[in-house]
Amino acid sequence: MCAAPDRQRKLRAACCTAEIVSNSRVAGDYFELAFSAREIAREARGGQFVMVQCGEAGSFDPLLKRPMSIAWADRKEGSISLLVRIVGKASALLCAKAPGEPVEMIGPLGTAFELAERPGKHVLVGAGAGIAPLLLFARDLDASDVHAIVAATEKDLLLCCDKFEQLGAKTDCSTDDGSFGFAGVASDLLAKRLGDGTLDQVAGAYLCGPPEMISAAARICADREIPCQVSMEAHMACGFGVCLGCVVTTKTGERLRCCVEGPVFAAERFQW
Amino acid sequence: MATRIGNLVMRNPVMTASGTFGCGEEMAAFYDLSKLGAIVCKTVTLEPRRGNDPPRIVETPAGMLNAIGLQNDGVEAFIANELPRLRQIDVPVVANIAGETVSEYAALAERLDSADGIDAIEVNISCPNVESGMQFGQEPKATEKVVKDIKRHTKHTVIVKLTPNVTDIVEIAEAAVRAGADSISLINTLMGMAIDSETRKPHLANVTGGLSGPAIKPVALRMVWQVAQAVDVPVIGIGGIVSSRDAVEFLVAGASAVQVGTGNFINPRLCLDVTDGIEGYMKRHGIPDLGGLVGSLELPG
Repeated sequence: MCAAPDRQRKLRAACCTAEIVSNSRVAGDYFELAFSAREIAREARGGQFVMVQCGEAGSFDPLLKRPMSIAWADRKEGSISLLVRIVGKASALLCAKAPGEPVEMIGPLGTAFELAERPGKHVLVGAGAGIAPLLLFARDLDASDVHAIVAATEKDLLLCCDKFEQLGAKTDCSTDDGSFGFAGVASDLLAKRLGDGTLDQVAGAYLCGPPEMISAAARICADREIPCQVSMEAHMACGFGVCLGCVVTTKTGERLRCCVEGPVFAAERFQW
Repeated sequence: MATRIGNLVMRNPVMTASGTFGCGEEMAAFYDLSKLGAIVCKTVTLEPRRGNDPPRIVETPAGMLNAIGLQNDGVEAFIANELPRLRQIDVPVVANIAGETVSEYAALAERLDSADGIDAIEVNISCPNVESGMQFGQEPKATEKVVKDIKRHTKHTVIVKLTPNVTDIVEIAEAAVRAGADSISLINTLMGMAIDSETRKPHLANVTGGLSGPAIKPVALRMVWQVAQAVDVPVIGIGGIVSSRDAVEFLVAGASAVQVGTGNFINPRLCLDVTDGIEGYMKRHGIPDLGGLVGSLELPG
């Protein structure tokens, strides 16, 4: 159950005791977890995240909640899904939980991807688990306008392709080792499509993944004057704007919080 | 559960710790801030500060290190942007100030004296991330000088927040009280460090940072107890409070009020839970008012 969010505030997040509905390994060390979290599900938009208690309630190990992008939200069912990669103790604990277990979480937090308002395709570029928030974003788009570039190191680690296809969106895969789709990295595939006639009219590009991918893809978009939004990552302590731990620095030296002013930012604010 | 610290009157003894609550704007999404004893705002400095480069935070066993670097928009922006909003909420507001020189502290105190909406000033002489901040609180004479000058420039209740990174915390507390401090709050963060063994680099861009969270509670409790024994002014306990039981321990040790900091990150509604818990504790133990709890530690023999 969730304590109701204050709708007058800019920050519209709720503290929620979510319950795990399902937990399954989807690829390699990636898990998909679904939670019943009605208030979060109602408000969540693609690009936003939740702060998740990964250990037992009251445990000091880990102490802080962890930020995780919301991969899906079903308003009717009152459920959200997270795509979690095991990278350390906290993620391992979370991915070991069973259906029925309660998990404290706070959300939805941060900024969402915003639809670029001009004609053309919306190019979603997601590498690894970065594809997760883009999937939720795609939920609210006209599928015929979506071109999703899904990148992974190898075929078996491509995530969410089936889900984009279910939405009716064009899914365009790249693998570092060439085991499936385009052989190369996401930004190379993006450049290719922008040059080979596939993506003649682009409304906007939306990027999420490791910093190297974002840099390269953002530069490509800047060169072609394509409106570009990026999801930035940072270590977080609070996740809702009070600790100032998660700042990123803009071209003009301004410090912006990934959890309030971000995680989704206009790419042009940064030096790539 | 009403508490009084100098002229600062609070409906309960639970305050927010500076740097963990912003100026309340974000936290208002989680609960009605008028239920708090007081809001202690993020440190303001005379001029805006950009703070340290990231990474600024890292989790450590039962705690975390921070090297934020006092990022803030400066006192003028605080007065123009934060105070008007805070005045709309029925909660006492404590401004927290830091400077690099005695005159900066005095200038801040003076500037805030004519600002509307502040109920007390907390003096940060104890930030371990900024070279200058550390000096005052580690030296009794410097502490005395700063507090004396601040007192000359403000009519507000002055709370002096101590750093634990000293040899003798009592000596510093006594110096602050001699200089006119109306209250002592302690502890600020303990100076610490974390190293990534794979990269062989520090986790923080600033290399060192301040340790907070449950890990520091034993040190904080000990220092609160020692200082409360030594001074006559009210003491405010800070350090690793993540439950009402923790808060009660500080009250028993001699604190008249407590501040909740890092705990807010784990549970945004923690201050409410702590307040309710203290009330429940007092009912269970048949203690009619806080005076019966504060400093009630029973020593052996």
